[in-house]
Amino acid sequence: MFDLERSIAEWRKQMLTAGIKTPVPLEELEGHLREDFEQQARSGSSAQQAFDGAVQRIGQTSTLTTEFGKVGGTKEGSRIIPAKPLIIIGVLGVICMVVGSCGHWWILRVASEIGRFGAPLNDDLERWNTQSLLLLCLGVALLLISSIACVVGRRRKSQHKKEAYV
Amino acid sequence: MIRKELVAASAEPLILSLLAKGESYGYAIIQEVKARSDGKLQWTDGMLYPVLHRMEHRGLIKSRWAESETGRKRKYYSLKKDGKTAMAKHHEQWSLVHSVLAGLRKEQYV
Repeated sequence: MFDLERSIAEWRKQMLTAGIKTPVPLEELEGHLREDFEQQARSGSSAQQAFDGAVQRIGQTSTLTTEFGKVGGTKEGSRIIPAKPLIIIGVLGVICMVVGSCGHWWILRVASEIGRFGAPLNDDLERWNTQSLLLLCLGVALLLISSIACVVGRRRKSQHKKEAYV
Repeated sequence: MIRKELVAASAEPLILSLLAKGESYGYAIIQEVKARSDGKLQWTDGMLYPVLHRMEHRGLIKSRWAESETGRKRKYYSLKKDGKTAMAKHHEQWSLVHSVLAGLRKEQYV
């Protein structure tokens, strides 16, 4: 006698052996198989016929595995550079630039004041000056990185959209 | 029966257009396409799901699991903003192909 649950368990085993990943695609396919089975059974087919027909309509496991493989295989999603981190890097870059240049300007002013009295720059001022210049350079680098990534990201996104509409 | 190349090419615009009417799930999508084409447009049932997953991966549609009236879990799909844009593009392109074909056909009978 036909046992639906056993037949579905067998079918699931075949799908898993063929490489259909669980849980999402297999759960979804099983739901479809059950709905189709019920529909066929309601329209008068025997349970065995309804199940065989539903399995046949779902399609060959090898073809399904290949097609599902293509879903993860396309790197469209991963190719796109997310915008939020780029904005954060860009803002950080601007902050570094502003703080660095303000620091450098302030140190130059202090140095000129000290120079007026003929005293040499002390070590602290020299160190702060180096640090503010480094901060300025870091800001420029961060801003450059985020700008380049933005341009590349925009190109990839427009390419991705073109592919999506084909 | 419609050729499989045409069936494959029309899958995405059909799915997008059906989902524009409201969220739906795999089995219902297949049944509706079958009914609307008088059974002439037939997909291999299982092949719809990789197409749906690909469209979701591309950000055209989104999905959610919910319980059906029978208590079984079902994955419902709905259209996203990019999907609406893609659908408009598809309609534009398919209308163009249709109008060119119709024009040529008309000329043959003149």
